[in-house]
Amino acid sequence: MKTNFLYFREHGSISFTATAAQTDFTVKGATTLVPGSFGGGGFSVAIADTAALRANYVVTITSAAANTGNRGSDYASADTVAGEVTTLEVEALSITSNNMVIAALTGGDAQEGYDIKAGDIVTVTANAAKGNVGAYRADRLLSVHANSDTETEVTFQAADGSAADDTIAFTHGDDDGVTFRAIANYFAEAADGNFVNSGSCIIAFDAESNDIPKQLKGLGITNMLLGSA
Amino acid sequence: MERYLYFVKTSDAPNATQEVALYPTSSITAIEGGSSTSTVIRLVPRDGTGTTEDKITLSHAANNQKVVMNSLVSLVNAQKNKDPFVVAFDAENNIINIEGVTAVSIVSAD
Repeated sequence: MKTNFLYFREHGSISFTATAAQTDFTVKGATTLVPGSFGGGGFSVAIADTAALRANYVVTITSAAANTGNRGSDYASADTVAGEVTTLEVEALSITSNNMVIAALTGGDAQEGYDIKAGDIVTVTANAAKGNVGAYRADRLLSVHANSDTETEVTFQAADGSAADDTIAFTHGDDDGVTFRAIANYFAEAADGNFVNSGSCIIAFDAESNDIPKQLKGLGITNMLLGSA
Repeated sequence: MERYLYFVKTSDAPNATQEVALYPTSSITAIEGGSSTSTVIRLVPRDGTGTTEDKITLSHAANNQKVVMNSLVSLVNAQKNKDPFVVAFDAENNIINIEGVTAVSIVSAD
């Protein structure tokens, strides 16, 4: 008897193309989900603050052209070549209001700063960690239930044996249960040992890579949140 | 047939606590990200409480969890293998049967 494992990954990446020598990039918005949605760039959970940004995210800059003296002393070289990808030192990063601020070298941070030029690509990616990526045993599936008109939750027996469940919450439109039914139907099928791809890791919802099964595509799911006990 | 996954942490002879372990695949409760460079196999604890966990942490390249999880699940379900003893990661003999894994650590609650 094969054991199906259902794989989930929250979305957590966004890229910007700098239009000038800018330092500020909007990584949050009025709601927790913006900017963007999964597959289109954005985060399942808003970046809370500077500490969270530094601890849980990686920020890279891909240089559009060769530059001289645009990086601080903590980097291997002060210069960059076209296409070079620099992983920013975390001390160069902060959150102010809804913006991520990258400390500039010129007039800013001589050690960790980076002078961004027009055309540079800035990418913010959430690190994989407990609570945003996991594969759960289908035979530990407890329920698929509605939390509200616009949220359907899938629960598994907690991996740590605690009373709390491990949860997967899908946000979607209010369509009188149509999406709920589709989600429930998918998990009933995916949990079965005869499901296609049984015995391998079944990609139930990989929002990060926009790798979504056809049964769940087109349902208008706008977010997936993983909760691990 | 139940299968059992064998893990060895050390490149020398594994002879100390939490250097070597064997777990039935049915004890796996979930596989989750641990950090950007690790994936954690969460297991039913051998202390019988059900409120703690045993954990095997797999180290790998950054954000490679999907590949590691897929390879591990394939190993769990490797039905062509008729031997219930399945070497998952054996640092002592340099046998790595989970794609992308470079090291393991074992935490057992007892």
